[in-house]
Amino acid sequence: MSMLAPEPMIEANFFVLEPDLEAVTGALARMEALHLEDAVPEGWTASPEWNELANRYSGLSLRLGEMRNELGCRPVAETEADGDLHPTQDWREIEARLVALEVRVQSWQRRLKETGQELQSLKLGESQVQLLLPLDVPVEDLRGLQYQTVMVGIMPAGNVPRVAAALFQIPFILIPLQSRKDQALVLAASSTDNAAILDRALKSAFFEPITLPPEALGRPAEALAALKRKAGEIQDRLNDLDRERQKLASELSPELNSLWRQAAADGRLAEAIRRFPRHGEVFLISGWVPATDVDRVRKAVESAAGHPVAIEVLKADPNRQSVPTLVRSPRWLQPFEELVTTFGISSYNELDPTLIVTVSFLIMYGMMFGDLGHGLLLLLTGLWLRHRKLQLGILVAAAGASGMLFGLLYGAAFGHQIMRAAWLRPLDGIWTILITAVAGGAVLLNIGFAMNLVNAWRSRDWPRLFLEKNGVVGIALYWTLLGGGLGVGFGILPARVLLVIPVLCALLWIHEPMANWIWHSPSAPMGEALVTGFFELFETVTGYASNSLSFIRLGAFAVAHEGLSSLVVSYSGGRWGWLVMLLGTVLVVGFEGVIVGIQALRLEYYEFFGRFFQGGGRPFVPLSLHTGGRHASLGVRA
Amino acid sequence: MSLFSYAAAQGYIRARLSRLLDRGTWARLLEATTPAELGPIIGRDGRIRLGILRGEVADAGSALARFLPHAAGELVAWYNRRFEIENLKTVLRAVHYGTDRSRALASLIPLRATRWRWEALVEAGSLSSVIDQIHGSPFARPLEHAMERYQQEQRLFYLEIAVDLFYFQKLVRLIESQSGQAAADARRFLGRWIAVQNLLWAYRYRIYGRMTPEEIINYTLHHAFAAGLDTVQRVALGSPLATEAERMGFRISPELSEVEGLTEIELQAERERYRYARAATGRPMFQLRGVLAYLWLLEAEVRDLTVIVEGKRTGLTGVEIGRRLVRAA
Repeated sequence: MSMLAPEPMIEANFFVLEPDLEAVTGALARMEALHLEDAVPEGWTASPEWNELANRYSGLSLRLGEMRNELGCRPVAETEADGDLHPTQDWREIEARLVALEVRVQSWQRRLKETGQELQSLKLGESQVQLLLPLDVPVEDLRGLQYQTVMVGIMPAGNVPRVAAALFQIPFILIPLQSRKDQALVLAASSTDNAAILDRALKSAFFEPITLPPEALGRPAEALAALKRKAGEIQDRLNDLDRERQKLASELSPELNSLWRQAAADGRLAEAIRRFPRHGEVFLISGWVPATDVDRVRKAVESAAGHPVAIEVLKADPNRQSVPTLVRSPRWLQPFEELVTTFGISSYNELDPTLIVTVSFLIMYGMMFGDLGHGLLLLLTGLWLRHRKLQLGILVAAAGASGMLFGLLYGAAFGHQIMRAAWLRPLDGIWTILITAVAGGAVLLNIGFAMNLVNAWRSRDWPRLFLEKNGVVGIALYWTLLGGGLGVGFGILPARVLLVIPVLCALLWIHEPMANWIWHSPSAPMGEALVTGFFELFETVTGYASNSLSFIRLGAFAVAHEGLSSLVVSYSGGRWGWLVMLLGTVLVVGFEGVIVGIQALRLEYYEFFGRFFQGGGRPFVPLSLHTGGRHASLGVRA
Repeated sequence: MSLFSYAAAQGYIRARLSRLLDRGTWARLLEATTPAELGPIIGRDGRIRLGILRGEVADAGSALARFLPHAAGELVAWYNRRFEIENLKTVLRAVHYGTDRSRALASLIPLRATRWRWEALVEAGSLSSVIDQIHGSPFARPLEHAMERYQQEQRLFYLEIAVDLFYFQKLVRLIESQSGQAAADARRFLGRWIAVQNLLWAYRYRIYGRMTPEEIINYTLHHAFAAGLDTVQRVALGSPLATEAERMGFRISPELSEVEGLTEIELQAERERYRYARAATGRPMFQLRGVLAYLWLLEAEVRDLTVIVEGKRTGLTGVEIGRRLVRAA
């Protein structure tokens, strides 16, 4: 059950004296076994000083991160900081060392910024003067016109037509002079009377006016040459500054990285402690611990603390509390978790369906895509994706392997019948494969029913367990309709067995008022409950049939896959046969590969999950000293 | 191919449609006397955390976008990014006003599929630093464009409108890039929504912001289906609300002030959206409309829950709250 059932959780409250707070929190964070909860019992207060400290560390981390980025330091893994953590004191040293580093890079930063701005302004000036080249008048004469308002500036290129539309009330000139990336250099003009309207329209389109640099003097050609000379000089200075950056980066990186790691770890600790309420000298650390870790956690906390720590452990009450879910999946199952988490995270009371979904998904996929060759191509594609660090690769590879396995059962490779089918050829045994598909579907639905019973039992949700459509009454009806129908049809069972059907239908119809009568569970008024109950009953009965028959597609796709592959083979003779084979295989693997994946997913989500899975849980995210922590090793869905 | 993609989406939706709250639950929610009673009615522990519910809508949107064919998937994924924008605006406000970090974090919608580290964004010391951190995202450039104006006037409006305009302009382009039935569905569901938003923006700028015509035009969409540039120009020049509302198919009582009229249009539009969505879920759903309809129903549910929670907090009666619900129609 451990792969299906979430880890039992214990609510743990640690009453810690202030002098031990950092050591105990540090020990808990290193263990990564406590999911923190915010609890503020009456009379306890928040700790503003820790709030301030957390903000201080986040500021330090930000400054360190910015400096690392500016210097182009190589990214480093957020590994654990060395030594003990003392957030109340560590910041002083980090701050002092950071300030010393900032002083070392300050002059370089200032020069880089100023030089960059200088170059940018010159480049803009260059583009403006370039446009004036056809004019043979000195640039300075164009400044200060009397009857016209002329503005030159840059704005988002997409806003140029918007400004034109906004100026619909006045005569105006709007000329986009040049476009670079998503910015446009624009010249706008109107009469001086309408200057205010022009100004408002331009400003509201995020227009930034630019003025010609003072270096731009004389006729446009002369001004441009002067600007280019100046730009060349500035570029040389920028190159020198980049060399200086590389030198600084190699000198400062080790210290910067170490400080950054330290600030991040201290910050996480302060961030956690900020959430703990206090009562005088005592702090309350509250959260969830996996039951199997309680003793380990208790020992670690006691050995980290210099004073006694009162530890209160309480059994989780999932009907009253929102308990986080931790499923310790084995490593091999983790790549498949997304099949379930895309739909939702199982809640504490629910069984985790990942194992069953993985197995059933792969069987369904292989059944629809059974071919040794096509499966092999998919397997290789999956391995390649995995090599490119894509988690999806493992799912694709496993689906390919399943396709290969079914290819052996069907005796097919690339549409050729290369050996005797270990089971059958879908085209030769259409009825067998269709019936097998429906039977397999019935098995999966019944696993879903069973899981619903367990989930309802775990939640102590008696109406759901006994009376509802996926509960005992519903399952009995499903089996009477399916098994009883077949039994009577084949003469194995007497027809009077079917008399139980109306009784079960009646129970399903009145399940809501009945649950209200027996367990006082909430119910709509009697009339409304009976009307909705009737329609629900109708939907349930038709649903049983349609849900089971829905799995027929598994067989139908298996037949279609073989048919399509044979078609490709039949056209692959002659001179261009290899091309037909190549394109056909790409089509079958690419097109059908995706389709059967979607079909299998649909059957999982609608037909299977619909029986039992709510997916409204929240993941167990333990207190940790670094982002993500060692969640993977704990099998946590985060 | 698209039929098969929609099959997975339909599987997901059909499995989840039955989880929408039923009439009995809504009745019990309206009958509750205090906000504390609401959580258990919908099967949640403690009080209803609206942010979490909105996060669940966002999660559903991103899960569905992954099932859909390329063009439709891109549209739904972009439509879903409105939650990210909402969070981004919360961050901008928090940094601008220097809001307490924990309060700002609590106001964010928890998004499972997100590209940014929200904690770090909230902690950014300045808005320039926020923009630096989202560098490379499509919203960074519009924000950079508006930054100069923000720095001059210290008004967040410019940053917010820059992001909104960028988001809606791209949404319009994506709707227009759809083909076949998906194009019709996208126009009917999203096109109508965008048009109403644009109309409301134009009037809000005129009524609350007292903006000039050129500003109104620059801060609204020019391509917005039934309420594009022509409509916005008329609004900018003083066209009465009732006239433009009627053009869009809304009827507002002449006794209502313009401010009340805007609220009324908003409610009528929400109810119309809800009706479309309900009708669409009753039909075969192997189309984009099924996905959009489901997302709208989810969002309408959260919207109505918000109204109920807020209504209970302010002491409104069940009947008064009921009048403000989308599902009352």
